[in-house]
Amino acid sequence: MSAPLLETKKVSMVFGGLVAVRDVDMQIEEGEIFGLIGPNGAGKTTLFNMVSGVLKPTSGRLIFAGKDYTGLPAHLVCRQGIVHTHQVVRPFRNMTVYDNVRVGLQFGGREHARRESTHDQVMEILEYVGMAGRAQELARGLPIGYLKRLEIARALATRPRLLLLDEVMGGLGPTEIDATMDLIRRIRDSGITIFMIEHHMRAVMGISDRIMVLHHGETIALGTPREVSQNPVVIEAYLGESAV
Amino acid sequence: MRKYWPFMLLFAMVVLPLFLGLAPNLDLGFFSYYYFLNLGFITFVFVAQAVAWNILGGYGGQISFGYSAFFGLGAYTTAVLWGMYHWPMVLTFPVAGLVGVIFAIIIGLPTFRLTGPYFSIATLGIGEAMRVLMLNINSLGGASGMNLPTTIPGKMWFYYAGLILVSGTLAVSAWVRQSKFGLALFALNMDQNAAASLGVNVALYKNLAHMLGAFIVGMSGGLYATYFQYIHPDQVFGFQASISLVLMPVIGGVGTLWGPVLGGTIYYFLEDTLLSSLPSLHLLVYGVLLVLIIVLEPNGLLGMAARVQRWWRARQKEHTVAFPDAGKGALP
Amino acid sequence: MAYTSQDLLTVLVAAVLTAGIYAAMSYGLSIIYGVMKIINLSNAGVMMLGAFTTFELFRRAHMDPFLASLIVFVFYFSLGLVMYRLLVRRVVTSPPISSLLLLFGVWLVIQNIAILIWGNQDESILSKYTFATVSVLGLPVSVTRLVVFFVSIVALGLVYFFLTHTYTGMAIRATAQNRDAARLVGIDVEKSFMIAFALGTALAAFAGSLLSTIYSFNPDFGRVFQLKSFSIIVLGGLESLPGVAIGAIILSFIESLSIFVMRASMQNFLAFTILVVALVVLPNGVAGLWQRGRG
Ligand SMILES: Nc1ncnc2c1ncn2[C@@H]1O[C@H](COP(=O)(O)OP(=O)(O)OP(=O)(O)O)[C@@H](O)[C@H]1O
Ligand SMILES: [Mg+2]
Repeated sequence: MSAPLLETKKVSMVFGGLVAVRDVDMQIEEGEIFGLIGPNGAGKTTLFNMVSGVLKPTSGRLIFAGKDYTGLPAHLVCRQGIVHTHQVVRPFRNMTVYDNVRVGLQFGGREHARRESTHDQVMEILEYVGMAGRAQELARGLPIGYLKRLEIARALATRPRLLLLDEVMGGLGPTEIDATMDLIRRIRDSGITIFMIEHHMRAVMGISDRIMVLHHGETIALGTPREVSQNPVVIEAYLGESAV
Repeated sequence: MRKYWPFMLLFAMVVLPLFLGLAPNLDLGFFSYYYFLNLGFITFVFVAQAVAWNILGGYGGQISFGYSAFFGLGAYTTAVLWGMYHWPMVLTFPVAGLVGVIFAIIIGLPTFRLTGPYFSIATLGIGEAMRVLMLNINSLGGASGMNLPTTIPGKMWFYYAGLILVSGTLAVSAWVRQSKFGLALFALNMDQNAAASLGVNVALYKNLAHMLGAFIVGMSGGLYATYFQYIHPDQVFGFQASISLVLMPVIGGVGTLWGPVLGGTIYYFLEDTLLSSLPSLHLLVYGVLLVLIIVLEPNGLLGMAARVQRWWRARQKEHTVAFPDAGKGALP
Repeated sequence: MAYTSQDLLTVLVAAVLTAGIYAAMSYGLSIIYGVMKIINLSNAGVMMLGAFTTFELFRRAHMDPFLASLIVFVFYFSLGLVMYRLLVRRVVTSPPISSLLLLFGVWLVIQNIAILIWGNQDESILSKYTFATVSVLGLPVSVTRLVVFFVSIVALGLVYFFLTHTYTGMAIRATAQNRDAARLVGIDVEKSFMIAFALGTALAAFAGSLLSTIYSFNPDFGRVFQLKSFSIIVLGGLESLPGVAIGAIILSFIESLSIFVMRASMQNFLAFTILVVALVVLPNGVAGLWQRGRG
């Protein structure tokens, strides 16, 4: 068996006294869609932030394609081929959609320095996510559905090997969700591994190859969507939350 | 046509002294020959500095209150190399710029790697620290300042040197705007973490912009020193020098290409007319403008002009079309 | 020149006394940064206004300067409320560049109005305490400095008590910790901002008032003390009272001891150098070091 694309070894993150993520071990294989679910405040985004280099783990190691990259600053992590989208969208508000994508293209990913003729590539990516018609609009005027897409487009522009999606379906309507699920599958089929956080159960169950469940910062289940959805501990965690 | 106006402006600036030079002793007030050359030189030097400040401050959103340190270091570098070591005058200017760059690295390296307001805080103290240091270095004149050689070219030479400096700086600024470098600065200005997540080396680009600004301001300090032939720490490192560098671009339109030019031109015109009567009134006016601009129109005078223009166009339309939105929206 | 141990003791006592007022003048900046995450550059102007207000109360109403400092506190607290409502409110959630420039503009306005009113020359307050001394550890110590020290400490203690033991104070601290979470649990975050800003402003004016009894002042007076305040809060990690206290002690001791090795006129250079060195070696301030030690 080949080595996993991403591996975490007992990573933890402590904020002041609060343990947001505790000793998480996981492995993501190249080419899969790996889902991450858990109640609000479970530590999902925090785990993403560690994997993408935004936060330095309090303890534990991070390994990407066989290389330990713990503590590498975010922009270098991006250049290794890991990129993430933000749960709360963070576009460059006063830039056009086009320039937003250009940032990813010109700075991110492994070959950013050697890339030329960016115009075609920007348009190609915008077409891929279905936003070519809005290329010259300012990001600050876009509706939320498009902002979520822009997050994805910008991230894709870095030509990642591993794409982290943080609740890209939050706030979308049913048709938009179907379109996004389709988009994510297409991205995976183009050879990019996907690690996604999602609250929308139908979507995440329908699309993931494997799912991990985080609760109070700890892994409580890991398996196929079917296994996870029938796991009594998981049901307990979710019911426990809604009962409060 | 619209695109060519910067070149027309440049052309006017180039030929105007030649015309005025035909009758150098004619008193036309503002447009008298020597008066114009003098005002032109000073305005060019300070507009160049404002444009340089705007690269990091406007494009990158990193406010520095400490550019007088580069200005003063440049002035002292030229004074020492030219006055004490007898270098050719013109050769001292790039070195003056480089000394500024070295100092920019000393300030930028520790502060830009941190998140938080550390850079702006540190820059508030730089000018003052250098002023106090220079007042106490007696071999460089200490509190009595330094005299420079008096063998300088004429006013005309300085006028054109200033014009070259300001045009060059504007060209650099225009280039930065549309380059990869500028894209990085705009991105980190709007959202530093998002930029880093997309691969932008935030600290690197901040440092580069800071160094670029320091180089230009350092050179202009050298040029300024040769023109006035005398420098004093209170003057070249003074807080006033730093303040004006913040005010000019912000009042004109921070982050725009021409805002600093507009702000700088008005600044020196205002100073020239107000300074003689009531010096504090000048900064008071600018302080009030600054507050109003932040509260009402963050894009400065250029932004206000654009607003007036839009309002004017809308008014014109109203006259021709009674209901401009008729037929568009849905019924209530 | 030879220095005796007596000299050293004198200097150390002076350093302790100075640290008190340094802490008081810096804590306002620290509160405002902690709660609102903005750097209040108008602090320098307000400090200067505090000094001149005291001066006028002393000169025209013959008021005791320490009594005047209390009036100054109350008056500038109200002024802080007004400034918040009129101006600062608009920039709290904007990017830092807005608040930085806005408050810088306010500082310029304050300073230049002061120049129009009081001119550019130095003023000072000569009260009945000015030349009085008492003996501490066998050394003559200025009564003014001693009173300023105790008043500063008491003021800091009261503010700290307010922040830790009253509902409003705790709401302010919760806002500083995490404004979104504070909002979620029903805290009026806007009110926390307003009171924190007013409190910071009042502390600055109060400190300016106390400083006016020791030093001479002019409309540019706040600037140098503001630079020192920045060194202090950076040393202290920006946000905590213990941090500010430690920063004040460090700066005051280094400044005082430096007179043995360099000219007194170099002090501003020293404060700045300390700031840069602190950023290089202790990016989270002394308090950060202490937390690292615990964690
Ligand atoms: N920078 C921070 N400082 C302090 N605490 C933090 C920080 N970031 C997150 N936390 C805390 O860590 C815990 C986990 O937060 P996280 O955002 O990772 O949860 P999440 O699983 O993504 O939740 P959600 O589903 O709501 O997005 C929460 O209690 C949160 O308040
Ligand atoms: Mg989350």
